[in-house]
Amino acid sequence: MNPLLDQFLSESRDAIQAIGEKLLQLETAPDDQALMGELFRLVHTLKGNSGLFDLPEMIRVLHAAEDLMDTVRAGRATYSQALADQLLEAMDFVSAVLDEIQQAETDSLPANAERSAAAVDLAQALRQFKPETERSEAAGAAAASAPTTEPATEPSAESAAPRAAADAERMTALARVPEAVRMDLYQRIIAGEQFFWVCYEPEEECFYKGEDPFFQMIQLAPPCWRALSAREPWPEPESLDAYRCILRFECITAMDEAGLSEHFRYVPDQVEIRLLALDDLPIPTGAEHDGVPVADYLHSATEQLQQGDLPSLIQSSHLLQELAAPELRIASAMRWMLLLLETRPDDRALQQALLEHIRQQDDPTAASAPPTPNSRAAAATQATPQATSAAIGEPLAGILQTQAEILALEDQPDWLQGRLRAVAASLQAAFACLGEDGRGEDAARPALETALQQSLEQDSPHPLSDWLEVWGAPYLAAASEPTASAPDAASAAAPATSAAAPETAPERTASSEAPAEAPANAQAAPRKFGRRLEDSYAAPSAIKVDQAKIDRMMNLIGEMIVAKNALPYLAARAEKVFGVRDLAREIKGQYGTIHRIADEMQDAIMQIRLLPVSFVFQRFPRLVRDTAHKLGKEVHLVMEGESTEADKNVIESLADPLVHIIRNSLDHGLETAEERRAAGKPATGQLSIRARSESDRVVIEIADDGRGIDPETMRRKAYEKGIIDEQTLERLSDQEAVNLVFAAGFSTAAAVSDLSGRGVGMDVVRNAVAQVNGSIDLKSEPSKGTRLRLSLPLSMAVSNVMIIQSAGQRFGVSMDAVAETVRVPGSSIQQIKQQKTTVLRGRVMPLMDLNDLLGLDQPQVANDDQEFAVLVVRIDNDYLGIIVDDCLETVDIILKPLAGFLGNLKSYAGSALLGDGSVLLVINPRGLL
Amino acid sequence: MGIEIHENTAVIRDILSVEEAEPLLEWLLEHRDGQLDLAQCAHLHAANLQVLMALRPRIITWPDDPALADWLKSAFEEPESNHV
Repeated sequence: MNPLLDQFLSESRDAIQAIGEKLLQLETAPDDQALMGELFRLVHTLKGNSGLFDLPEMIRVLHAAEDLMDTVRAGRATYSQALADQLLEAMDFVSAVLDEIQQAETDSLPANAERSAAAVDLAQALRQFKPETERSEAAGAAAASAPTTEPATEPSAESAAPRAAADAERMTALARVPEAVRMDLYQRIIAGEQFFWVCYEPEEECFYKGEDPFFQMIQLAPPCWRALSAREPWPEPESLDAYRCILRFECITAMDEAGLSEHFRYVPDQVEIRLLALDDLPIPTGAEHDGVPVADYLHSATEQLQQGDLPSLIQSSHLLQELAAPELRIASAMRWMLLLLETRPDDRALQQALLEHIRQQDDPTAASAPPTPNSRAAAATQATPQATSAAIGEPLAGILQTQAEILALEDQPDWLQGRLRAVAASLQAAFACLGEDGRGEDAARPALETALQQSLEQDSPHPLSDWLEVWGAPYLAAASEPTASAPDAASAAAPATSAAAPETAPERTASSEAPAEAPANAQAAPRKFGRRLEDSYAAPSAIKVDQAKIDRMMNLIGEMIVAKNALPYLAARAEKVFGVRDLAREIKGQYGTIHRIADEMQDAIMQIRLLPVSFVFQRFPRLVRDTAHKLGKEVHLVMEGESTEADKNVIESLADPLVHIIRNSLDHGLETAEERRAAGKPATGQLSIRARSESDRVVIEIADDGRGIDPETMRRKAYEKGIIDEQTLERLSDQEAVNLVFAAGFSTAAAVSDLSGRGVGMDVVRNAVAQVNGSIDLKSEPSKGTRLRLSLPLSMAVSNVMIIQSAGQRFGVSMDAVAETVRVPGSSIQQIKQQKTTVLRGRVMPLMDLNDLLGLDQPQVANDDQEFAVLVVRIDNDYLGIIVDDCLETVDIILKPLAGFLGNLKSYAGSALLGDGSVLLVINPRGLL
Repeated sequence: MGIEIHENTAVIRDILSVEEAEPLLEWLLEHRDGQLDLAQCAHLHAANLQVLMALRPRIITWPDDPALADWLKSAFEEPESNHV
C-alpha cells in the first residue's frame, strides 16, 4: 500500500471520528455556528482528500453530506436529529468503504453494484434534508434518478406521478426506435442475446467537472440504436449557455451490464440502464388510421386468442395488414402481431399486450388519458401473466376469497338475505374494477344479478357461489398460487401495491441482477453499509502516540543502558574485591544477554522515532519555486533519497538550517538566466538536495551549479568586516576562505534582500547542525557551483563516547569526533616554538596537552615505554592530536547538556552518569580551542 | 486549434475542446448560415455538440470517424421530439 493511501486512511478515520463527535455535540447545542463550521470543514476536507483516490462512491456520499452541511450552515435548512442520523450513517458508510480499501490493499476498489447503490441511496437520503427548492435544482438529473435508486427511494405515493411519467417517457423513447431495429432486436433477444437500454442525462454542471459525456458515450461499443436529444426545449440561440449541459444520450447496446456499470461508475445517478424485455419491443408505430375496422378485429382477435385459435388469428391479422397501408400504425401492429404469432405462438401474454396496445391507441380516450397506475398495472397484467395477475389480483382475490368464505357459511341466520345482498354488492364492485381488463364484464354483471335473485328466492347462497366459481376462478387460482415464493411475483407485487411502479419483473434494473432485494428493500432491511461503526471495529494499523510518551520510553531505555553498564563494574568488583572469579564470569554472561536485549530495545524505540527526511523536504519544491520566482531566476530542483530516515529531533532541527541553505543557494549561488547564458551555462539553474544514509549517519548534500564562492572576495570582505586581520588574510587557504561564510556576522551580498544576506545565515546553520552533533562541509568552485554536505547522527539520544583519563580524572569524548587513538613515543614529539608536533602518517600534526587545555596543573603521564596516548580528533576537517594519560573503553551514555551557570562552559558538551554511579564530563573538542 | 474559418465554412480538425464551445457559438450566431466541415474532426466535446444541436448549422461533410459520424447524425436527423 502506498504511503499516501496509508496516511489518507488514518487521517480519514480521524476525521470520521471527529465528525461523529461534532455531530453529537451539535445535538446538545444545535445553534452553535462555530461547531457547525468546524463540522463542515471536516466533511469538506474529507471529501477533498478522497478526491485523490479512485473512490467515486465515497466522494458521492461525502459530496452530498458537504452540500447538506453547507445549507445547514447557511441556515437554509435546520439541524435535526434525523439529519444527524443520516450524516452518521453516511460516515459509517465511508468508514466501511475505508475498511474495504484497507483490506483490498490497493488504492482503488473494483466496482461493486451493491456499494454504488448504497452510495446513491445515501446521497439521495441526504438530499432529502435540503429545502425543496434547492433540492430540485441541485439534484437536477439525479431526481429523475437511475433505476437503481428508484425502488428504494421513491416508494412514496407522491412520487408515483413522476414515476409513471418517466415510465411513459421510456415507452415513447422505445417507440422512437425504428420498427426494423426493434424487430431485429426482438429476434436477437429470442435467440438469447441481451440488450440494455441506456439513458444518460449528464448533470448541468458536468462540463465544469472536466467531464465529456459525449466522449463517454462514444467510448461505448457501437450501439444498435442511438438518439441524442435535449432534456428541455433548446433556448433561443442568443440565450444559449454552451456550458450548461442539457443533453440526453440514449442508446441500445449489447454490452453486458457489468461493463455498463463500470463504464458509468462515476455517474450512476445520471444514467439509467435497463434490460430490454421482449414485451418492451412490440410497439406499433406509424400514422393514424381511419376506416380500418380495428374494433372488429380487436373483438375477434381477443376471442380467438382466448380460445387459442391461432390459425384464425393469423388469418385475420393478415387480412387487416393487407387492408391497411404499410405506413399506418395498424399495419405496424399487424406486422408485430404476425411476428409474435410466428416466433412465440404460445406466449399468450405478449399477444394480449399487443392487442391491449392497439386498443389503447385506437380508443382516443384511453390513449389521451394519463397513464394512471391502474391502467398501467392492468397493461402490465397482460405483459407478464403470472406475476402481474397476482399483482392486480392479490387485493381482489382477497375480496373474492372472503366472499366465497361467507357464501360457504352453513348457518341460516335471519339476516341471510342482507348478507347475500352485501356479497353481491362486493362482487359487483370488485368486478367493476376489472372493467379495463378487457374481460366480458358486460356478461358477468347480468349473470351476477340473476344469481343474486336466485339466491334470494331460494334463501341459499349456492347460486351466488356458483357464479363466483365461474367468474372468479382465474383470480382465485392466481391468489392460491404461492405468490411469495417466486421472487418475480414478489417484486412485482411490491410496487404494484404501492400503486407506484408499473415496473414489472422482466424490466430488471441495473442493480437487480444482484439479489433483487438489494435496493428494493433497502428501507425495510438494513443495508450492509448501514451497520454502525461499533458493530465491527476494524483495528487501525497505526496508532498515534503523544511524543512525550515516546520520549519517556527513550529516557527509560537510556537509564537501562546506563544501569546495564554497571554490570561489568560489578563483575570486576566480584573478582577483585571478593575474589569470586566464577561469579564474575556469570555476571559477565548475564551482562551479554541484557546488553543484547537492551540494544535491540533501544533500536526498536529509535525506529519509532524515525522520520523520513521527506518530512522536511516536502516543503522545498514550493519554497524553491516561490523564491526563484521572486528572484526572477529559473531553477530546476532535484530531490533524492527522501525516504532516508533519521530521528525525529534530528529531522526537525534540520528544517530551518536547510531553508537557510536553500535560500542562500538561490539568492547568492544561482545566477539569473541572462548571467547564466552569458557564462555559457544552461539558462535553468540546477539545485539538488540529496539525502542518504552512511553507516550511522545521515548525509544531506545541497548542491547548486551557480557562480560558486570566490575565495578572493571572501578574503576581502572578511578583512573589510574585521573578521580576520591582515596576517590571516595572507595565510588563509582558498578552502579556509570559503569557509569564512560560516563566520559570525558575515554576508557578502551587496544588497540585503528579504531572503538572505543579513549575515545571520550560515553561522546559524552551522550552530544548529553542531547542536545535533552534526557537521557541515562546504566545497565551492568559482563559476562551477557550491556543494554543502551536512552529516548528522541518526539519533542523538544515546551517544557513544570514549573514556579517557587525564590528571587522575576521567573524561568522555564523543566517538564522532575521534578519528583515531595512537601511542606516540616521547622522542617523536618535536617542539616548534611553543607548539608540540609530531609526524603521523607522513603528516605534521599539532599536539596539545589535555591538561593544558583544561587548565589542570599537571604534566601528561606517559606509559612505561615512554609513549604518550594521543587522541586524534577531527575538528572541521582538521586533525588535532590531544595528549591524554590513557584511553579507556567506549560506552553508550545519555548525554545531558550542562545547565544553568555551567551551560556557558564551552569546553564541555555535557555530562553523563556512568554505570558505577560516577559523573562523566564529556569534552567538546571544538570548545577546547 | 480546432476551428479554421474559410469564409462561410468552419473546418473542424482533430479535437474541438470544451473551451472552443463559446467561440463556436459566437461564430454561429454571427454566421447564421454558416456551414461546418467535420471531415477531419476526431472528436468534439459535448459542449460543442450542444451548440451544434441547438443551432443546427448545415453540415457539409460528416466526420470520417464512423462512430462520431453516427452519433452526430442521430443528433441531427432525429428532429426534437417532444416527450410525453
